Amino acid sequence: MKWSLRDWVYIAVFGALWGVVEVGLGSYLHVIFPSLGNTFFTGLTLAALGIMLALVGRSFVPHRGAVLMIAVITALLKLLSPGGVKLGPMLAIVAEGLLMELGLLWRGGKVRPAYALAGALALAWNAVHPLIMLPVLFGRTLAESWTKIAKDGSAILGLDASQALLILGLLLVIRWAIGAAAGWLAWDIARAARRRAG
Amino acid sequence: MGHRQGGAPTRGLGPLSPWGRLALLAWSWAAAMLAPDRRLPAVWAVLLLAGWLWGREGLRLWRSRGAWLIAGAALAAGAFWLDPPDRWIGGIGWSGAGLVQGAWMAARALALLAGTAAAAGGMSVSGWAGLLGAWGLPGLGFALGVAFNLLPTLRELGESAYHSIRLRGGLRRPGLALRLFLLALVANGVRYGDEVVKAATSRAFDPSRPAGPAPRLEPADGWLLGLLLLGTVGVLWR
Repeated sequence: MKWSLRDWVYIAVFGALWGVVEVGLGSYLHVIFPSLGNTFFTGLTLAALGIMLALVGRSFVPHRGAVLMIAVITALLKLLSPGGVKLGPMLAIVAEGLLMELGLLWRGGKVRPAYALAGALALAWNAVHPLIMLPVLFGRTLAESWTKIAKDGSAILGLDASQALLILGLLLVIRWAIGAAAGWLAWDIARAARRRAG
Repeated sequence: MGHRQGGAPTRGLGPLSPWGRLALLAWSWAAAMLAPDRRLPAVWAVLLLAGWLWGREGLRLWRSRGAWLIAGAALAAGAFWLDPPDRWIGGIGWSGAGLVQGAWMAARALALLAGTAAAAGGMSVSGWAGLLGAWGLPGLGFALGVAFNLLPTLRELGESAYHSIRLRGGLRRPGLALRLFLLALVANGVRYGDEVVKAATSRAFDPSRPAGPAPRLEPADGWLLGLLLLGTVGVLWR
């Protein structure tokens, strides 16, 4: 990997910006939406903002792997930040970075729809995350995790918990839509920021 | 670079090297995830002892509200959700067996978090940068150092941008406010980045070469290795 000094500095800047959102805004949101309740809104907001920043960063460092590097920096900053509970967010950040890279493979990530795809894929991780973290953190089975997610989803959507597939499908569609919108908006912000930066 | 140092007391055994911290991190994750319930006390013993010997980061977890929330959530989920209720208090049904299961879930979760805190919490930015350099990623190590030092500046910048938009009534149009906020954040962040590039270029800095030597093993790593081996035997013992 032969990247210039400027590339690495921009990766640091965008990793730090995502870190500011995770560490700074995250603590406010966890107070508004306590983690004992449901992390749907907190996760969605933090991930959408982080995805936007990482994708804007990709336009400043137009190399394959740049978004993953930004995500790794953010995850390490999260690890180095004070506070106890970091494993879940760290895994989510790196997974989102990987999924964004996957989306950016479409036409080299040089078109707006690739940004939208990257955003949609990355935010879809929020749906998978509890299925991985509940068994890892609490030693639950996949079926127990699935039921817990369906119960939480039914509280958000106001649907009966027995309609688990519909609930999980709707939550996934909401995440895709918000992720795609975040990617779409990131393209605009990247162009405007590049114009400002000259 | 204004790196955060571990700075924790080491009880006469000397500090762990970044390699030792990494080994502790890997062991704690593997042990907390794979150990059967009845072997979790052995995992706990190792993590508490490591936390006591090589810094208080792991022990500081007990002051973390998030950790207690997770433990509480596991206990509540076990008592009220995992098993059908077999006991009643004030009209609320709960399960005794579920509560025990919840306690094991909480113990596993806290072990994972304590391991991460004990191992990674004591690692400095320069320690991580050194490890990344040793793995052939000196650029990433450099970027981590820059990002860590930029954090306070960028946080301040974000707060200023938010208050500017709020005072101008921008929050009445949330979509536009978000766009302006991100634009201000990115444009100013890039400007700071350009200054870092100028400063590093003027010193002929090359991010493809490690900034310093790879981290060396410390004598305390040997003690840690012994402790982890004992812990592994404790987890696997039949």
